[in-house]
Amino acid sequence: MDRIPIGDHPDEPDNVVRLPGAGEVEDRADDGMSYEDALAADAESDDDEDGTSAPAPGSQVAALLEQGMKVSAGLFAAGATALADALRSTMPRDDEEATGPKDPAATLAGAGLGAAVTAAEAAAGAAKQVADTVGPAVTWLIEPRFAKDAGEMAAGGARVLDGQWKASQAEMIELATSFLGSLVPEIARGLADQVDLTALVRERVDVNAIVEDVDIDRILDRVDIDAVIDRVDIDEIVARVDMERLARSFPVETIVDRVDVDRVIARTDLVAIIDRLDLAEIAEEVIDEIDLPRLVRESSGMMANETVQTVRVQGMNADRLVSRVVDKVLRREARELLPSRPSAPTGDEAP
Amino acid sequence: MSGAAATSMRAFPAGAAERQGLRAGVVSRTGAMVIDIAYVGVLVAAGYAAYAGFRFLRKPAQFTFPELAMAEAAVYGYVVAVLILTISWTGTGRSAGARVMGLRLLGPAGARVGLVRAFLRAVTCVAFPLGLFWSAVSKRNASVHDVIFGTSVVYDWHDQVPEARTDDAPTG
Repeated sequence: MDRIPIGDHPDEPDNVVRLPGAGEVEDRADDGMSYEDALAADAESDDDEDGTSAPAPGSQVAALLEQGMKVSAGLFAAGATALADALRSTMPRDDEEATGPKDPAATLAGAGLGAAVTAAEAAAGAAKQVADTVGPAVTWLIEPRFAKDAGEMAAGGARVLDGQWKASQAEMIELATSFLGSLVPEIARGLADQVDLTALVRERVDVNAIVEDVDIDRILDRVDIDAVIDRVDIDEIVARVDMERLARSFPVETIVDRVDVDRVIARTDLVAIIDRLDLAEIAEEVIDEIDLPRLVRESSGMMANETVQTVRVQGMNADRLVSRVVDKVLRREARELLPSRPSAPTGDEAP
Repeated sequence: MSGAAATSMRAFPAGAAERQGLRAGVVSRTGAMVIDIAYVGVLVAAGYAAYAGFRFLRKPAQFTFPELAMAEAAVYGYVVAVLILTISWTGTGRSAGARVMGLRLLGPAGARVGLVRAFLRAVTCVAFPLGLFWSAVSKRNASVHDVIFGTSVVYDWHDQVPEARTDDAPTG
């Protein structure tokens, strides 16, 4: 599996927090002065101050200013160091890169420290220049002895400040750490916004390999199935099931085709079933339900009916034939077959 | 033998439906009369057999078939026929023979005949059965008895019995 090359990314994203002073370290390199050289220069200047028996008041003010700047620089350096550590902790542990010259966190930390010292020295130099200019006037106004006391007081103040700085260094670091504690999540969020992690994981991560390493049995051993089932509301699930649709999609025909009816019947004890049936009672009920006399009457009646109808129709035809013959012999019109109401007998009907 | 005609006939053969209610001819009526005579003969024979059986059960040892002269049998038959015809005509309007042939006797108003008219007509018919054949000549298919009592015999295959007449006075 390929490692995600966050630290080695050639193009630095825009949302990377750039520490102030990172560019200044190059300026410093251009000046040809390293961090050690700066420290040595500081020590030399201290020796010079110690060597002078009566330093000028301006130089004391400059020393105070320089000390303040150093305190700020220390604070800044501590913050920069903590930020570098925080950044390094978010990166993959690789000895070669952690110790290599390309470690961006180390570079950032060094840049922060160098920038802080450079800023402090630049400020101190400027203050010394001002003090050298204004110093004679101040000396003229102030008595030399008083000036010497003031210089000693200033040196004491600087030492106090230095002690205070050292005493509060831990507190400063802690404050910086808490500041970074809130800063790092923001950075991570900014990174997440820029990088499509889902696509990245899909592209780079072999999920199948991970799944192969997963011990499913161990996971299942830890799952309390009964508890899960207890939490499932079966009734609600059943209520949400569309039974009509389910029944429609149910392959009844297929199931029926697969059923071996002969085998089912072969396994059925028909004699036992018949023994349990009260056939006599069933027969009586059936006979009670069927109006047998009516059936016999109707069936025999239907048979006789056809014969009777035939006889009747033939009788009708014979009646008509006889009537026509008689009427023809008697030479008269057709008969009045419709009985009149009331059909009173008339004289001409006498036999 | 006459019970077969008791069933209802919902579908009539071709030519039968439109002739329902018309006066019947001599052939159908003669057929009905023959059936009635046979029916009466069977009844008389059954009565004779019943009487013989009764005698057998009463005195089996001395059992002999009862002697029945033809004249005596004719009298019995005459009585039986009058009774049967009277009851049939006042009831449904048709005797056993008329039921088989699909005929019905109607009174002067087209209704059932009354008891007196039916009885007198039955007596007349049994006494003078040949009067039936006047229907072959009559323009209205009327027999002598129809002429006397103002009745008429029609084709009626329906089971529905017409209303009874209220005025039962025989005419003629």
